[in-house]
Order: sequence, then structure tokens, then C-alpha cells
Amino acid sequence: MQKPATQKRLPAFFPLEACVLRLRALYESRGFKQISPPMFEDYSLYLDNKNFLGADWILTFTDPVGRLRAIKPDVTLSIAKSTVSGQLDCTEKLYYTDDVVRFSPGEGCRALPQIGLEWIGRDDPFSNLEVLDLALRSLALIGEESAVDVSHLGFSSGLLEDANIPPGLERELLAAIHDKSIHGVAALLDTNGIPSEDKERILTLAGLCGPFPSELGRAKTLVRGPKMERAFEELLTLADIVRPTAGQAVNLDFSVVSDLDYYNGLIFTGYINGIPGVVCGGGRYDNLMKKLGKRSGAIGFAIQLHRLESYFAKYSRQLDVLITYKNPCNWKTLLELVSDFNEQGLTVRCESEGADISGISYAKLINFPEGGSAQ
Amino acid sequence: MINVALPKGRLSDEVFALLEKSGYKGASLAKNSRSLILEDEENGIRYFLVKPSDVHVYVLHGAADIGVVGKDTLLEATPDVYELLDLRLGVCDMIVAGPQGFVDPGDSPLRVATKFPNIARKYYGEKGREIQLIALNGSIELAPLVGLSDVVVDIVQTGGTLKANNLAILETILPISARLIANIASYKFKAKEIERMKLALAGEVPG
Repeated sequence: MQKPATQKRLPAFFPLEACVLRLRALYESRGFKQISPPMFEDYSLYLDNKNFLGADWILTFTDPVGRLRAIKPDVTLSIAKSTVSGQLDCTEKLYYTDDVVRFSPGEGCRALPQIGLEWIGRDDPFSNLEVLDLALRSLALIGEESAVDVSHLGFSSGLLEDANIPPGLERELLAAIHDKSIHGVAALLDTNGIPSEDKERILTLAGLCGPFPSELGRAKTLVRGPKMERAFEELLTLADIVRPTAGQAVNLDFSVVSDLDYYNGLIFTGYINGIPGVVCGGGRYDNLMKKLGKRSGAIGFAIQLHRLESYFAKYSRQLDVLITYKNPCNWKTLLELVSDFNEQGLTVRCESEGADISGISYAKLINFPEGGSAQ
Repeated sequence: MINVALPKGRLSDEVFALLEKSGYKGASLAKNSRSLILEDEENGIRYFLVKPSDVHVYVLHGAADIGVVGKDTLLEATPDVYELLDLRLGVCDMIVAGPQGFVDPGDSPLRVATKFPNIARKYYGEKGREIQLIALNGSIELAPLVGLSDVVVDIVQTGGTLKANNLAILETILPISARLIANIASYKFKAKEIERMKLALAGEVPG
């Protein structure tokens, strides 16, 4: 029996759709299971973890039994919340394609599509390696030229703790480091009377940015104390094993920061040349799991699909073959011709002679029954 | 080629002069030109001249790779961009001003007129003082004179306008100056060109 043409290759989906399918295939190939997180959660989940969201506005409503509910602004919190509290017997490897709903006064209410994955389980060095590897491969599937910035919150926070930086100042310093504002970091250190040796180390940390393996050499000079040593070892392991694909750069960059109440350990952001913001963001969030009363650790990332929309818009959705047929003609032969093209994996559209085909994009035009090519 | 968004108006002359000193074609390009796009082909730079309060928008959305913008605008809009350098141009202060001798009675929300509602909200929020914000787009100094507000939050360079209107600086919130900012993704793919310009400018920043 003949196989349908669609089994021979992917038809001409919209490029973004095709990209999502490729990403799903990647995650499925590593044994990750697709899940559908709930659309609504109790508002208290987001209120209690507002800093994790990094969003000021949450859309809420009161349900028929009087509970204050929220339209989910984030997927990870829902997944973390629904994880069993005890130690997992086996790692949970989950992925999702879902919308989160965000509101801003400037843009109003927007549903933002995401695809992401979560690795939940025991503290296992392979989790960092596999998740970072999948992030790199995901970016390579999206664009020809990509970059990933890798950081480690244990390294940054270890250095700030070693310098006895109080929590309030720590938050301000991390914000300035995130902005790559060396002058801002220096001003904060001066204003707060931080000793010159600590100041120099913090300024070095803020300025560290370069190819992953080589920049680690500079980072090594900053290591002091068990927390930084452990973080450095983790980074060293990643640098030894993780390999970027062609057209991909992996940098060590401590300007990648996140809220220390939720995140810890490895953290990273990914970029595609031609897309002006962060495409992929992820990291370890063991602290969030602890906060939610879970014994498992977790790491994951999300890809902001809405940022890809304009990037893929440049690729037109072109047909391989457009056939214009006389009416009447030999219908049987026409259908066989269409099937032959499909068998070759080509997309075909038929229009009767005289139809307005000016809005149709195609690679090849065939007039049937003459069979003459018009291009 | 890197795209640079620069503020039109008062600050642009200072920025172009700094660019010229730093080895880029700045003032010489801008001289007698009314074009909004200027190109320094030799150095691979294209300048866009935009409204000062829009510079960060061009950079955030990647239309420009880097830009020059006031710290006041950055604090107000909080765009996710890199703030690479303090150019020490357009130096002024963000202040609270009010009638000479004004004392906050503290028995009702303080009425604050400003072009910078987010900065004002954060400042008084940290002080724990309840305020009623009155958002204005210009001539802020007029507000306390006609009873629209108790005080204003605004930027001031010399204080001349305040003095001429019998207003006084009551508190200084923070110093303001122009900053070199970069789109975070552009910085990944055009790091060499952006860093080259940053270092060249840093060498000529006023002391």
C-alpha cells in the first residue's frame, strides 16, 4: 500500500510551526514527556513568588466558589508546584508548549507562546550537562548563528558573600552587573565603603565575559572558599564537555543573573543573530523547589516563541508546484500528476485556468494538460 | 556596520564632539546636515537622530545596536539593555523642588507633579511616604505655583528656572548624566565593534 506523501517529509508548515515540531522531536528523542500545565492557578502561588516571575502585573479573577485565581503568567511555577513533595524515585523529564499571559501598561494583555523543558530529580551533575546541551541544540535548530551566555550563581553569590556584602547591596550589585554597568558597580562599592581588595574582585567578576573555556582561566583567579570552588568545578566540567555547534558561541558571562531566592547554580541565556532580545533563558531553581516544600532539585529552560515570529516572517511559505488546469480536462491524469509530485515530497496546488493566481507564491508553474512550464 | 541611536537636541552637539575626539566622524558629519541618518562609512557606523526619550526604544528593539540616553530615561523606562559607560555629558540632578521654605505637613498624601512617575513612586515608596502623583509633560515648575501640586520631581542643571519661579531644591534624589547603552543581543554578535567604540569613548570622557 502506498504511503501518504506527508509521511515522506514535513509539508510546508509555517516556519515557526516547523521549528516547534523540530524542538519537540529533539526533546522526545531524549525521553522528555510532553505535559499540559493548567491554564489557571490560585493567585497566591504567584503572589508568594512574585520575584520569580519578574512581572508586576498578574491577571486575576474570582471563580464561582469565591477563590481568587490567576491566568498563568509562568509555566515553571505550575510544574514545580505539582511535583511530589518527597524524593522522586525517577527523574521527571518534562516539556511543554504553552502560552503564558502577561500584562504591561504599554502593550496591554498578551498571550506569549513558549516551549520549554524541566529536569526534576535528585542532585545529579548530568542534569546541568544535558539541559545546557539541549538548550544549545535548540538554538541551533532555530537559527544559523546563535550565542549562549553561561554563568553560575553559586560563583557570583559566593564571591559577594566572601566580601561580606549585605543582602540589600547584593541585590543592587547584581542588578548593576546584569546591566554590564561597571561604573554603576564601582559607584555602589565606593558609596558603601567596600575595601579595595574586595572591590577589585567584584569589578573583575562584573567584567568577565568571553569564550567559555578561556574566560574560565580568569575566573579561577577569583575562587575563594568552598562555595566558589564547587561552582568553579561545575563550570569546568561543562566547559570540558559541552560543545557548541557550527555558528554557535558559548561565553562565560557573569552578567547573567537571577533572583537568588529562587535560582542557584548554573544559569544561562541564549540569543539568535537577528532577534533583538533573549530567546532562551534557563537555569537551576533548587531554591524555588525548597521554597515550595519539595525535596527534589530542578533545572530547565524556556524558549520565547513570540520573539521568533518576526524572525521567521522573512521566510515566505512557497509552494513547490502550482498547476493550472483546463476545465474540463482529463481529471484522472491530473490527479495522477498531483500524486506523482507528492510522491517526490513536493507540495502542489491546483487552480482552474483563468483563476487569479497573483497572490500565490510558487517555485514552478505547470499548465495542464499541455504540461508547459511557465518559469 | 553598527547602528547608533543618538538624541537630537542639546545633548547631540556634546555627543558628536565626543565622538569626533574619539576618532569617529561625529561633529564633522552632523555639521550643516538636516538628515536623520548619518553614515560614517570609514568606521562602519550609521547614526540615527531620534527624540531623546525614544533612544532606548530603538536600542531595546534592535533597530539600533547602541545609543546614548540620559540616566533619567533609563530609570523611568527600565529597558532591558546594557548600560556600558557613563559619558558624563548632560550632567544634572534629579531633585524634589517646592516653594521656598516648604515643609511637608505629612498629614495627607503629598501631591507630586512630575514627568518621571516611576522614579517619583520608587523614591517616595522607599521613604514610606504616601503620594498623589500628578503626571505632566512639561513646565513642571508651574504646578506648585498654581496649587496643582505641593512639590515637583524633576531634573535640574543650574537651578535658574527654579530660582526665577521662587522654588527651591528640597532634596536631591540622584545625579543624572548620559549613558552609552547597548542592545543585549547585538552585544553578543557585534561585541568587537561595540567594545571598540566604548573604549574609544571611555578614553575621552570628561574627567
